[in-house]
Amino acid sequence: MGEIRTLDISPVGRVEGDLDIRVTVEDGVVTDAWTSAELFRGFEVILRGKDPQAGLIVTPRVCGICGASHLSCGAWALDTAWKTEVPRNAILARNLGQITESLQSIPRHHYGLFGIDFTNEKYSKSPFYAEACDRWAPYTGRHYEAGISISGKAVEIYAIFGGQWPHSSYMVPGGVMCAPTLTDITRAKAILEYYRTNWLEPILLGCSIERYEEIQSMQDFLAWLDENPAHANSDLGLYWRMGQDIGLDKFGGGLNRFMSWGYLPHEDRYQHPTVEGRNGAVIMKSGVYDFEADTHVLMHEEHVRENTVHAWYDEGSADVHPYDRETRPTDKNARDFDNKYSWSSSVNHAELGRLETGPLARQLVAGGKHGEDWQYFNPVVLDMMKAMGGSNVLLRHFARLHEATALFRQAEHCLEAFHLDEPWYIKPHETDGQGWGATEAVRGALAHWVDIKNGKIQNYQIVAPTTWNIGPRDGEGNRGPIETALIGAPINNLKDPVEVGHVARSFDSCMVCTVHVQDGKSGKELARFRIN
Amino acid sequence: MANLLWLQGGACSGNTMSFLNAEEPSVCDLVTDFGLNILWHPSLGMELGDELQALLDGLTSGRESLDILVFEGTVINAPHGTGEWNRFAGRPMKDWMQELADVARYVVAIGDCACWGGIPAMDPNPTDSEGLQYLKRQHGGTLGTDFTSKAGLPVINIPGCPAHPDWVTQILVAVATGRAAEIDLDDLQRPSTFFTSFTQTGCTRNMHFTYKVSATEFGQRKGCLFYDLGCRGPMTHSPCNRILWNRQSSKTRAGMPCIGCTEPEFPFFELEPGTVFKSQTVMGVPRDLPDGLNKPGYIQLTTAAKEAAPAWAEQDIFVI
Amino acid sequence: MISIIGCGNPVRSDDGAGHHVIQALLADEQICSRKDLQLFDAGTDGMSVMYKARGSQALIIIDACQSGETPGAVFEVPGNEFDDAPPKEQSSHAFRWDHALYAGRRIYAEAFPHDVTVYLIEVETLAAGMELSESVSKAANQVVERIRQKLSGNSTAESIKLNKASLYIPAEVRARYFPNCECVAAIAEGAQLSLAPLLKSAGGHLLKQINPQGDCVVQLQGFFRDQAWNEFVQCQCEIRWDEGRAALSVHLPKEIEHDYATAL
Repeated sequence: MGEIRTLDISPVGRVEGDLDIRVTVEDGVVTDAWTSAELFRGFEVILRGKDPQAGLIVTPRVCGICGASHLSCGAWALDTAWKTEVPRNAILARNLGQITESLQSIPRHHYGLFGIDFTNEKYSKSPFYAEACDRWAPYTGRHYEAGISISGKAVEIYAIFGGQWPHSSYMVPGGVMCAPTLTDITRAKAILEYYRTNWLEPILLGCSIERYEEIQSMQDFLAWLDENPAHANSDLGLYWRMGQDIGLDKFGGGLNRFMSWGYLPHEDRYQHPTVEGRNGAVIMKSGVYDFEADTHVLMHEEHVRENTVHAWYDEGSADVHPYDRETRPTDKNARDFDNKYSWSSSVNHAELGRLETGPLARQLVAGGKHGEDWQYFNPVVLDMMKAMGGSNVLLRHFARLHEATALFRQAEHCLEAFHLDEPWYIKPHETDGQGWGATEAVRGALAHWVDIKNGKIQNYQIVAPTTWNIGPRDGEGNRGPIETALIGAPINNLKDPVEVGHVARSFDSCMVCTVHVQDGKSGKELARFRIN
Repeated sequence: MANLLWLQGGACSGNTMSFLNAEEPSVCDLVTDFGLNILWHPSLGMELGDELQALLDGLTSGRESLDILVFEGTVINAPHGTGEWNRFAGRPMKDWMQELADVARYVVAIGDCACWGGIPAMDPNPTDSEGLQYLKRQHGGTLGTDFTSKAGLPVINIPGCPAHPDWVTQILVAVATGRAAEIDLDDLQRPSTFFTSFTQTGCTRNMHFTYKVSATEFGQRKGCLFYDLGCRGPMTHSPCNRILWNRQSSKTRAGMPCIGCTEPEFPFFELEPGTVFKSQTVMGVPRDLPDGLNKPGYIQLTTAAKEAAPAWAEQDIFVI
Repeated sequence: MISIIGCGNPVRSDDGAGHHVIQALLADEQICSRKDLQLFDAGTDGMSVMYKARGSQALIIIDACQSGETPGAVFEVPGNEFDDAPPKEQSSHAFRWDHALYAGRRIYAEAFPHDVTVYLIEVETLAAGMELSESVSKAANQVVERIRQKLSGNSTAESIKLNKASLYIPAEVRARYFPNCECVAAIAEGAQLSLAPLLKSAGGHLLKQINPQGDCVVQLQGFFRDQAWNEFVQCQCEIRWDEGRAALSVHLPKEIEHDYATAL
């Protein structure tokens, strides 16, 4: 029996939103964890009885970071409910919005939220520490400012098509509101080129996109790292080398079961959007990957279940499909870890249980042999995962940085494929019905379900990536993805448990984390700010 | 050196994301050149746990001075006025906000939610949300009508969903360089530099407004969005078409109707069925007319405009 | 920006006339306080004239000459009189300022000043020594006076930076032309741009403060696009207060009208 120590940090920053994590630590290792979302805003309640298109205004404001993703879901959900026709220009314009928001988020998350931890004093003995501080120290680091600035450039493209970022509502059922001109396209290309020549190639990769794209396996990646000092000294190179040096490959694994909705409908394959037709129409394929069994299967919306046994809702104990959710918050929301302790429901797959979502999940799905030949395939991260024997913090964040080149290529494709003299919008016929829209926000799988009756919203339900990842225990007591990933994390300094931050931030959850550590044996929560 | 603390209540982080898009000056410039000392920010702060608790205690007790308190998001009062539905560092956020507002030299509400309650305060307002000193157009809010910060100003409201980064940086610059006294506030406590002219001021579709040429559907390059698609540009106070978004464009330039997000009534008509992206009319006349225009005036103006309109006004004059 | 560059070897007595003129101007506080001026002693490094002059609207060169006229004669010669290609066989040490004018015009094109004035002073002696002869010393003082006059009448020579459709307005320019004013109206007439100060809250483009010294930027991306002006031009633009319009007139270069797409 090991020594049990208790600490309480409240809150941890640099994870968007409000969240508490309680962990128990034995012998400097996390042995159990509970995640509780601490903010209820009630968007689902607000949307009841409103105009069917109200979701287009309200849901981008659920999250100012993933507004384009919410807008995409809201628009596609109405498209399937109203059985619209969406012109190919509009599909491309929506995809471009989603992509540029993700291209914004990758550097903003890396420099603004994740990389800062590498400058923590705890790592001062690492041979890479001085370099990390020089580059990634907040505000003053050489690449911190460059990274924050370039993130703002990416969404300048979004503003050309949507008017502004964040919080535009330019995607509507039947297409988009904009009708850009050649000058707009040219300007967008110039900005994309700026992104490549000012950050992606010189700072992130230290090589051309073409060279990076040659990497097809772990072995290729390691060879690339050794090939040239520019590669090893790039931000990606430094991240990998320092990450290994400080042991980020040693913890933060988690469930090892993953899901992605897939995203970016192909402009010629989804003009008549349906729920059933979506898996066969998206460029980035959907799927569930089980690492233990090494299997890939497609993901379908009817598999989704939510459970609120441990969440502050008064909705019974059964697993229900989002269409059957009622969103009835309880007044009493004290944290009771045997009962209810979060505003997040726990989400699961009806057959495959709890699943992790995010860039790592997307990349593992992208490496699967399932799906269709024309869909995007990239085996790198799946190969790395097998070589490393499972997931970890290092790989989870690597997958995010790895996506930048593929997204850049997709953005290039959109800008080249527009036919400016063709329509951008086909006015739909407004009807009652049910609709579903999904995408991949940069931090994972996002879907909206809408039920329209008598020309009003009867029910609107959102399952966000963070709901998948941050959810509390489910009806059977199984831990959620982050709760699982925290177990086994070494806590080196109880006063500054940066490792908990690494795990939480590697999921890029839309949450502000508050961490409580609890006495694992007695269950008694000890005094704050104290080690005993 | 000015100390700044940035907190989020019932927020989506959209104002933070918008703020991070600032250039000239950037957020980094504000810190390195203007000496703005960001004590903590939920997305950027280094401190965590007990360090942050100590910092907050230091500020509320007056041991450390707080020059600027920035608040993003609504103040959540539910359930039953306790604010327990939004806890931060172990307490309801509304309690932190009130204590910190009492010790701050300036209090700045950024974005609609913090100014007037915004979307979360929309009917049925399930979280019992309000703004710092307003709920919709009603003065009061959490801090009350008489509140003034240490420097003698009421809450400085920078509305918008989100607020434009330049609106935010220029107010912070004024405070950091000792020019806060020059900030002129309108009767809704918004800086009048930004919120006196209209969203329509500078819109590329003004010509079509003048000749009453309407964009009847989305995806059209020509036509004004006011007549059919519910654009609120002529009634909304904001500089969106003077100080462009992301240095590139604006919603109305791109083809999206203005939804009036700098005004306390946003979201308008509570998004009731039939009100979204559709102009509301009574007997063919818009329910909300361009600011200051009366109904007979509007009818005269548009009748004359329609008759006088040159042929090109109905043609697609924008080259692809 | 106006560049004033002295040339010549100060240890060969009268050949140092250019050097002495620059020293005299540097001693003048009023001249030194002007932000639109740069003074430079190029010595015998003719090539540096090319680099220093780049981006200026006006260039003044002072050098000694040996033409056969009476010692102390002063010549004021327009720059376009000098267009000699540097001799190919010579080394860079023999590269003189007139070669620099030739090369600068060709290499930097629009970014090289069109308004070039050359002052030449006839030497009396080129013996080793740091002092000017009496006749040349007197002539140098005349040149200093002449330049001073030229500068005082030349308030148009002030300039501001244009980059990616943003105009950078130094704090003193703002204080002089736009006091107590937060926004300006942009007015286009052909390739001519004027910025008119607006009363508080009246709209227009924001004079956005970018640093604690009070320097500002006016971002005109949308305005440039509406005029179909090239957004990617980078240069110094001469400014001049236009009493008639009560606005600051900004002289934009010709390439502003170049097609946007081809500029990429």
